[in-house]
Amino acid sequence: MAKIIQINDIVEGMIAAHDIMNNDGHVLLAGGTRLTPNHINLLRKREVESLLIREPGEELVEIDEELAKVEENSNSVVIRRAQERIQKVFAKVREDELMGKLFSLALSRAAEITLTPEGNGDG
Amino acid sequence: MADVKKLVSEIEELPTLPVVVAKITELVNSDTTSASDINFTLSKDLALSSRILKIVNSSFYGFPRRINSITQAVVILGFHSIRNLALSSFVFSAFAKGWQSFDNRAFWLHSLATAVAANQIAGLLRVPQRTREDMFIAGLLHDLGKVVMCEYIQEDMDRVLKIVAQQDCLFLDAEAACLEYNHAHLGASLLDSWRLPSSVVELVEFHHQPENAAVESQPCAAIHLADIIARSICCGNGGDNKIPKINPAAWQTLALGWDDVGAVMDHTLAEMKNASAFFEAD
Repeated sequence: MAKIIQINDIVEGMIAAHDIMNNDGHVLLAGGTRLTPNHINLLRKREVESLLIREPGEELVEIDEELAKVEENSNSVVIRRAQERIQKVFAKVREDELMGKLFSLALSRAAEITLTPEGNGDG
Repeated sequence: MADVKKLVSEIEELPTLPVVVAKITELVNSDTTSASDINFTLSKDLALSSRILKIVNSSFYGFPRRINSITQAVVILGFHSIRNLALSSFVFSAFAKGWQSFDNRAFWLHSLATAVAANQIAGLLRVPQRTREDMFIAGLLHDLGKVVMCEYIQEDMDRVLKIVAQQDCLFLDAEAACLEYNHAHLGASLLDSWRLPSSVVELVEFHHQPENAAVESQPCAAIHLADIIARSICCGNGGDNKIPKINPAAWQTLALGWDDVGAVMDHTLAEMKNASAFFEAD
């Protein structure tokens, strides 16, 4: 049986019982992962509030290394998408002196941006 | 604004302010109001009181101790904040149905990000607390006119969005191409009909033309910049995917540095992580 544990009570070595997705549907962390401090930080960053954790004795799947790759890829995809969106938003005004400055400031914060749907029809 | 006023008066189904919110607006506009007057009025609407307490106790405000009563909230937050909470709570619930042509949540996220940025700029400018609160609510409601178009003048909204899509241009430029009015005037006119003080109405009316504001040029320039900052960091969506240029006169009026702008961006991005409190208070 798995158990729901609040993020503040999660400690290193616990095993996630299910996949955790980011907003784009990419797997941040696959079920079966033994949690490291990095994983826990990532979950906090993504504002995951609680996690289903495997009880001791449940079957264990060690796929940490592959997971680390998935995590890295999905992070860089998210950042690239934010950068592309900012470029699109500024496309017609980048020549302007003030807007050029603002563009650089925004671009340097791409990693912190959570995108919402764009465009007409959805926004 | 005369023609827009006529337009607003002609839209028959436009929501009027609930009695309690109208009364609070009136009380806050008066100099002789006490905290207990506000408390007495709010106590007549339990749903509204509990929504306000819920938002006040959310991580968005981040008070270290729980605020259990409206009296406490009034004393801690001040009259203007309570008015703002009552008004935003009403506006969110009155205009919360799904819109045909707009992502409702993305729209309010943009509005809230603008409010947060405006509040932060107000801090940098060291304006009086009252002005700061006016700036927050003006930021939150700066695009109210778009909501009115969405819900009551759908054909105008469709024309504007069609041009936005065809020309990949600003919502404002598309309005100028096909309408006699714009969302800024429309929203200001509705707020005026709700008897919001002119210090708020004017900030909404001139957020795209801060140079035309008769008074309060710094707060108006701040709302103009806050809208642009919210767009630059892609917080939500106000109906187009473009960004207007910063008005050079407004930039000079504000006399901010780029470090300040970066700090406003960082603060806004961080605060928006707590934004759900505003939308899920019902």
